[in-house]
Amino acid sequence: MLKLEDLCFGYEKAVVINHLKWALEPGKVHGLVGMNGAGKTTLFNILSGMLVPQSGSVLFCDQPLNPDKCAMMETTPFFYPMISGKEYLEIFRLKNPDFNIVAWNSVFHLPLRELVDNYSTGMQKRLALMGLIASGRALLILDEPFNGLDFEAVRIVQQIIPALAARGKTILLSSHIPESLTSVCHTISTIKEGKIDFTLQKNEFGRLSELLDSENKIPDDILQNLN
Amino acid sequence: MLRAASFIAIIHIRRTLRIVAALGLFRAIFLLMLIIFGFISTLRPGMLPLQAALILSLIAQAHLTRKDHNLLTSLSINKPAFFIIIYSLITSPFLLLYLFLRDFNAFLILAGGLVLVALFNKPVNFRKRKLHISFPFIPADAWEWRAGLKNIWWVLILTWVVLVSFHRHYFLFAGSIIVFSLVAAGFQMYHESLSMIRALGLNSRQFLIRKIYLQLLLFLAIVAPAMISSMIIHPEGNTAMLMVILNSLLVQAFAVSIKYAGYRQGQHTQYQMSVIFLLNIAFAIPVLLPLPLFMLAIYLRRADLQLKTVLYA
Repeated sequence: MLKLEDLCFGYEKAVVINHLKWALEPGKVHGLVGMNGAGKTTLFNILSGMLVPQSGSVLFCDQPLNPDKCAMMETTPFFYPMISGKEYLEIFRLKNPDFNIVAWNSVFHLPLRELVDNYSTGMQKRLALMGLIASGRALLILDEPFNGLDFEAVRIVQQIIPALAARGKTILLSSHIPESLTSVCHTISTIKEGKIDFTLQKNEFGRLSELLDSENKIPDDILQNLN
Repeated sequence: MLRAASFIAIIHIRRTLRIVAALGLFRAIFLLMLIIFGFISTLRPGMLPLQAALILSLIAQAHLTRKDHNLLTSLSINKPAFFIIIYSLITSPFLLLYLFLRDFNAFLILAGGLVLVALFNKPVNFRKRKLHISFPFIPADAWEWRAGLKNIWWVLILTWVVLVSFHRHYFLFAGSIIVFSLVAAGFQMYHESLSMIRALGLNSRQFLIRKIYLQLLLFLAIVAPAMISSMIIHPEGNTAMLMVILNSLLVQAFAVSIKYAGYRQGQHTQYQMSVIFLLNIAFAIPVLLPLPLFMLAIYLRRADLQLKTVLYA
């Protein structure tokens, strides 16, 4: 169980995470939805150890979360210039020598001998996802994993993420397009003003649009008056 | 940790070799000559600490601007110990050389500096300044200057304050021109959106001429006080000052050319500031004296071609 208790974080005077509480079951895929600037990436950076919370705690299996348990895929993954796909994955094998690059690449279909600089955005995302899997961590965080992916890559990600969760990994992924998460997630939560606004279980996903629309719906009279 | 550092150091060496190979034979030989020249000229007695400081500054710049925090954190190696090992491995030939030549100052500068640099293992986030000054009198098509000065006006003020305070020292005037030149050339690093270029309604040649004209004009505007003061207070240094100004003007035109030679909407020119820095000090190194003019001639043509491609695509 991943437990976030009374978590606070801000940049100077701007409060981004505001006494956030959240409990995530292990072995499941948890989606996080929020507007741009709602604090999704900041929260992920705290979990991955890149940022230190100003107060509150993050517990994983009832112990303070050690960054060694967690790996994160950024919205725009970083690659060293002039590195090949194989070299990139071999870096991850330093910590997880059992990771079978050839076997996994039969799923991802990447030209691993090519330089990553020559990859398309979708290919770079697939490589970053392979790296995330290769890290072998118990908690995997994917920030906007569907951005820039073609439909084939989206299908691959949609199949692999639940399979990883079935192996006991706790997976946390974000999107600002809620519909992209419904097919892979066991729960979907929304973050608003630095707090978890609500959480829906899989059987409640039908209410997602209704709940989001109730807050963001443009009144009919305004729509009609638009030229 | 040692295994990880050695492995990643090998990957960095392979990448560096690929980058050098991508430069092409002529440029690779030229780069090698520059490195050898720099190395030999700093081997003289008393110059080794300077060499150590230069190497340290290169590593510090690379370390503080790196973007691999998340990657290394995911591997649990984003730690000072990792960086101390990897930087020691990379600089070991120099550290051994300083020990062999018994120059302990150089050794301490490099070794101590590496340890200090390695302690900063979190992303460096500069605080946003609250005081924003806008420059509406600058022409709208000099957008780089409007945006750039907003961020960096305090550097210009600080430089002028130093000049006024220490106006007896001639070298500070020449130094300030180089600082201004670096700052102004840095404005050209980021590539604007294509719609901004198209909005001017100029063809590639007219656009390039307009941008170079604005760059030279605005550069002269910010260096004029220092230049005129220097000519009045230190007339004996006019020839040297003229050399610095001429060289800086070439560098400014080159900064615009290199930007548009590799123009890609929303991107930035990689390694631009390293090249600009080298060209800015070209007036002081005889072997490099014609370099800015030579580079400008090459990149002007490339910029025109690239702009043609972009504008008519």
